[in-house]
Amino acid sequence: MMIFYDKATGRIVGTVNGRIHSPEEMKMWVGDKEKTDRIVCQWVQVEKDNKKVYVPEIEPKLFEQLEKERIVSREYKVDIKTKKIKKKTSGEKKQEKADKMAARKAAPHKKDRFTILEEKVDSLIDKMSKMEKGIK
Amino acid sequence: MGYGMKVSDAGYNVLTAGNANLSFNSDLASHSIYNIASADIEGAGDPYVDVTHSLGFIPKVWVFLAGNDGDDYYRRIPLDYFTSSDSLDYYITSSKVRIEAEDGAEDYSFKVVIFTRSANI
Repeated sequence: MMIFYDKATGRIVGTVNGRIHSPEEMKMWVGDKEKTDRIVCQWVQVEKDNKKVYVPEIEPKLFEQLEKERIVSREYKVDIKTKKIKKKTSGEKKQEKADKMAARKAAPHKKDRFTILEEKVDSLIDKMSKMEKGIK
Repeated sequence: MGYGMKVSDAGYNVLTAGNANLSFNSDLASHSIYNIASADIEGAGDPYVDVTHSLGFIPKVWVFLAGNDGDDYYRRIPLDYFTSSDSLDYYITSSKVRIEAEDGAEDYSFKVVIFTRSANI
């Protein structure tokens, strides 16, 4: 599995699934290569109870769990100092939500399509009314 | 004992792997998948995200919006929400898949399924 994260914030921007990545797959990238970095976990073969099994070569418990997650970025982030994946705390999730709300308020927002349609209908009614008056 | 052939993904035992971890199963119609990636668009950031594949040709690709309305779901894109100004689309080149959000004010998570076959065949 490959985890791609924002170098400045540690936000996970995407993943490439799989246990063993070929050199060709290693060329894959998610996000802007200038702004992101990645953590790669290959699975390696080990002998357990006389059987050959595959296990993650780094942080086995974490990567076994990450493989099961549908959207890794919702629950996890990367600590940019240690470059380790960690579970978001509820405080971090709340802060993230508050930051997003603030960014959304600051960003210019487009009109929704009902409002655009309503304005178009009003404008048409106005034009028709003027035309009608002109005809009379 | 029946007959058939199974090929597991690298790192999985073909004798015990479930269908989700098989590259090929003669009991099922199979498409060869190059890889499955996930990618996010953050409302406050760039209104697009790239998944670089470096296959050198334009592959067949499916992109799904990963959502939750009480239950988890995947919804195919391109997608146009009438009730908001959000419009999600993607295009494929010989080196990447670019997923775009027209409005760029919301956060989105996507699953990207890249097939090994060219979109031409």
